[in-house]
Amino acid sequence: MRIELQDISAGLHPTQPILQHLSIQIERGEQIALIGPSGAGKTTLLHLLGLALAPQSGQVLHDGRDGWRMASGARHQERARIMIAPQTPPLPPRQRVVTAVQAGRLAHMGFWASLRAWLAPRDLHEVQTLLAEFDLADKLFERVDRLSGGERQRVGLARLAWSKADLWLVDEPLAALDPVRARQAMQVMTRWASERELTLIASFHQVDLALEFFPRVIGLREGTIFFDAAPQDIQKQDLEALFENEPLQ
Amino acid sequence: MTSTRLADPSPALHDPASRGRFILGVMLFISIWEMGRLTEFDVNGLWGAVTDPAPRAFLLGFFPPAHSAEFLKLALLETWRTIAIASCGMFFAGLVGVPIALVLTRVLSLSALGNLENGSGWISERVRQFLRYVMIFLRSVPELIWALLLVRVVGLGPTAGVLAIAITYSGMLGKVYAEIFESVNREPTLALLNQGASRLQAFAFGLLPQCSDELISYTVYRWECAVRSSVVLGFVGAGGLGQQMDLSMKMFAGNEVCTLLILFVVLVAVADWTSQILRKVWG
Amino acid sequence: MNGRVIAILSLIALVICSFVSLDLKLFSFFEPDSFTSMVRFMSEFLHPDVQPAFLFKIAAASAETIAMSALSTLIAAFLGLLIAFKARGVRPLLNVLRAVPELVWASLLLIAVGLGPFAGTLALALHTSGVLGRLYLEAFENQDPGPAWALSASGASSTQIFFFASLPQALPQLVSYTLYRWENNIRAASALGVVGAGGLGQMLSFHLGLFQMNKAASVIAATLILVTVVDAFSDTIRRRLG
Repeated sequence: MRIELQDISAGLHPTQPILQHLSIQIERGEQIALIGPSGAGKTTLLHLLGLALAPQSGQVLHDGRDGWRMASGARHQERARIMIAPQTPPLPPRQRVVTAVQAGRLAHMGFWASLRAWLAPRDLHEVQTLLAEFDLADKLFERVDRLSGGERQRVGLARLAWSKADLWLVDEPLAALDPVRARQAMQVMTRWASERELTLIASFHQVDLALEFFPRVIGLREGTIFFDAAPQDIQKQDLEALFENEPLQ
Repeated sequence: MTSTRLADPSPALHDPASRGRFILGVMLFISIWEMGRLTEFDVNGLWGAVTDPAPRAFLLGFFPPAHSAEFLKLALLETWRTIAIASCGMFFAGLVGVPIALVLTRVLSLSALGNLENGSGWISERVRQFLRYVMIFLRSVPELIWALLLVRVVGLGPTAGVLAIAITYSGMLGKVYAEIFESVNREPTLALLNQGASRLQAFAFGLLPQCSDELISYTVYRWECAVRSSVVLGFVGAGGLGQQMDLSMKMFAGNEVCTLLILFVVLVAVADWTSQILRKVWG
Repeated sequence: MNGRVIAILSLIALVICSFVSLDLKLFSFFEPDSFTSMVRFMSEFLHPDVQPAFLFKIAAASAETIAMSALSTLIAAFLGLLIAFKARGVRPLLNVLRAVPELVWASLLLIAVGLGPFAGTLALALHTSGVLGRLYLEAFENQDPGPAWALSASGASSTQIFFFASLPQALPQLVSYTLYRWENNIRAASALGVVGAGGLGQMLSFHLGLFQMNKAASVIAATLILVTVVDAFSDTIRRRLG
């Protein structure tokens, strides 16, 4: 999916937009890492890109279409092509992993398919294969609240992978993961994104992993783009300036 | 995605919850069917309710609500009587409930003075246990049944209602008051007892001030419940708005029933408003 | 004047006025006629009728009462969910359903659908759906909006969001409320019979009307047992789930 942001201002309060005069162009199949200090607006930007937050001024175009100019029904259909994975995995505590993962494809399931998935999930094998990539194959029927924080985060990523979206927006996917698992998750995510030719945009606190795995890195600071370059073109001073007044990760 | 793969080595997966869900579903279906039969559930009857002439006329007769001066005077009088029944009932309930709650409060027990953790005397404990069972009994029998019994004994009218409320609510008040008394900080009360104050004095000056807010709050809430109860008890002849509603329904006077229902809703709202003001003034 | 003093004085005034306006015949207990009949009633009461034929009738009435309470609670849970799901502008309806006591609903419905447990079941269902609808609505409003938000952002329909996010999150709370209302409804179902809505209440009313105190005592005992059993059962389920 090709995305274009034109002179965007967005935020939760009308008088204090978090993002100001932002313009970005993203081509189909690009993989971008979003880094920056807390409060820079990374989550706001992801929600904006995901049609979950309307801009106060400017336009957000997905494949040339402005979602906020459409009727709400058409806009909702547009959302079926996008998947946001929030920082805290949005999984109901007592739900089982298999259902939590399959919920990723709800927008593409009709009434009867949804009812069946709710009562007696099918495609168990496929879900398990997916979970195996994250070493969660044996947790297929486990309840979400019986998993550790790291396992829950990986289930959130599995749900992302199960969806049929062509734009993945991932908010701090590695927060609860130890270094080994974090690396594994990155490898799986970026590999899938390449295989399916998806557009992947992920925000990080772990700058080193971001620089290692992504060909394009955008640094966000106080709602504006600090830099937008390939990792090899980013200098240490740029990173220090980006995170000024905040300890470097 | 299909689930058939030729070179798939792993065994077929089976949802462990599916069997339980299926059984639950079947049991639910059978239970509902059986319960429908036991309760003589009759979907056609529902349809008949809106199409048959008698019920239909009754429902349509609701509008406009009766508003003759004569009927309104009667209705308002009955509304006041409902409040009166609830208030008298609560008064008696408190009369019985408070002493019981006091007896149940261990901190006021003289035999436990200085020995609170090991409990009071054997007799006191038996008495307390007995009182607790009495209160459970008083609370568990629905007040409607008490009212029904009392109407046979004392006749139709508000007396049966007052007594029914007094009986049931004394059980409730006794239990909750006792819990509130027990939950209060014991030091002030113990200090007074050790000084030689009588138990009632220790209660009034040590215990009561600490929990008066909670007591008022709960009592007022129960009074509201009592007002609603009195209406219900009226249907078995215990006086008030309920009895009048019952009469009007038996005469198929839909317009009167409508007025009475409106008055009931207003009554409940007024009771709620009164309780809120009282709580605010007190606290 | 101190607010508290005014409050106390008003309460005293209320109680005095109440006593004055009612014609309470409290001392009628002690009149010779009622006293002797009371004593006779009491003694009959202490010898409940336990003949097998009668116990069988009690069992049948108990089954009817349990069925009334359980079925009405289930219907109310279903209606309550429906109402909570389609939450717009629904609060006034819920308030009306809740405010009108079960007995009043029952009396109205008896006229509409005739005597018997059907009217009682409907009455309980209507009143309880108001109560549960409001409790369910609050449970949904107070829950963590994260899962529902995420599903909405992925394009799921509101029904799908309900079943895959809102409901699973709120379920323990909803079940707890529903079981609690069942405990209430078993008491209400026992009582509704007095206006003709079947079950133990109707039996009680019948036998009291004939002054058959020994039979009435059995029915009341059965009611107490029923209420205790349902309370215990519901507590066990709640503890298992919680």
